[in-house]
Amino acid sequence: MKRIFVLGGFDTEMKEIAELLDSHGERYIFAKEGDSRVSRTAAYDATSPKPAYGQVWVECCHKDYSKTELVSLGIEVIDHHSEGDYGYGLPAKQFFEASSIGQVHNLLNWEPTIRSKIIAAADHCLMLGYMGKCPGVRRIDILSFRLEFYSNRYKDPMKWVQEAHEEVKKCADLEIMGTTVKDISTVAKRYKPFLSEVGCYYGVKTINISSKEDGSTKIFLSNLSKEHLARFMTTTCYQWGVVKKVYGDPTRQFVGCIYSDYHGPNS
Amino acid sequence: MGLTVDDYHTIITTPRKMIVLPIHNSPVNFYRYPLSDIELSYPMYYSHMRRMLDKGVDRGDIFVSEGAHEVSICWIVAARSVHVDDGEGGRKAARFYTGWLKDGFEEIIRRGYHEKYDIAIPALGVYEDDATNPVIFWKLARKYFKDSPNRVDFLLNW
Repeated sequence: MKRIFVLGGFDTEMKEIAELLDSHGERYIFAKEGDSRVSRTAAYDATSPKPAYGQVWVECCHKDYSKTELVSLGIEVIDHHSEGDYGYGLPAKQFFEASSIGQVHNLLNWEPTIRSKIIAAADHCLMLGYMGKCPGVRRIDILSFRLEFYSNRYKDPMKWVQEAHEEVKKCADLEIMGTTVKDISTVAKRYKPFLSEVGCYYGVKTINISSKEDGSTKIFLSNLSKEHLARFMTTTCYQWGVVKKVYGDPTRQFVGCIYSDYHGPNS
Repeated sequence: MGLTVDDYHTIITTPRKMIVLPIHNSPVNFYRYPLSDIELSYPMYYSHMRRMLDKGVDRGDIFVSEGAHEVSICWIVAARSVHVDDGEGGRKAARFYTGWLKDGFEEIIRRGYHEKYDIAIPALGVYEDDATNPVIFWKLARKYFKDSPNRVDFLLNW
């Protein structure tokens, strides 16, 4: 049986994986929710295809199955987002084997290109990549790649990044868990696409608090130390309100938390 | 190594790393031996198997429970239901289909589990309740596992 890859939601890494599979003559389909391709947020609630032996699910899952259940059917699962995934929690020096694009390379015995490595570093640990912690990938390489990505929609993306940085500097400082973070919740919408770049490129610890349509509140912490983020995930987040879901990877320096009832850091 | 007859160990006491167990694909709330023993000895695997049955598995499908205990269990869907009407108003054990078992064994070979694990296979047919011809099942197991690189035990008193 020839293997078939089932790809999750669209992002730079998934686009590259699809192109690489194409160029090597490997078959792939997209995980779907109903009739359309899953989004990144709905990637783990796919309704098709039906899981079957010979498939390789990349950053997605069927809504009726856990990843462990997929594995029990002899399906390969490639991911690094949740505990239990092969790449979860792997440090920056192992960025390539940890990332999904790297796992695809290893599965198919492909030689990694510099472009694949840059994408892997940017996807697995952007900040540590900018800090030069990913072997074989330079800070300037990642920046060039990211700016090229933004240049599809913005004329001078570096100028936007610099302006966004100035905006972030003006944001209020928030003391949490004994460390100071910038509360970027109020940054103008036009700068939002560049906030992860600003945080990671300039090494700024940030917190973003946003309200969702269903009444829940989402907190997103980036670039704090691994210890702080692990502490937030295990204890602190529960002191701030009623937690619906907490996710992230302290090793990759981000944690998100969704509250059904949010009280705030001082509660 | 190939296939060896083991008349001492049961599916619970076997030292082999993977146990191959035929099951029915009917998600109902009653079961017959050996599932009662599996439920007691490997509750996590039993729970996994029941969940997979609820999700729907088909003839000859195999799936593996592993990680929660020292051994792994490879389940083969080889019967349509647990019991069938005996024609006299009662029920009798449903038979395991040879064709479905064959599909399951082929799948085990295709996925290379016989290369990865040493395996124990219960000798279906030695008990009347199995409703399976023991000679046919033995021949089937021998056909697929006689040249196995790892040891495969055929458990007579399972």
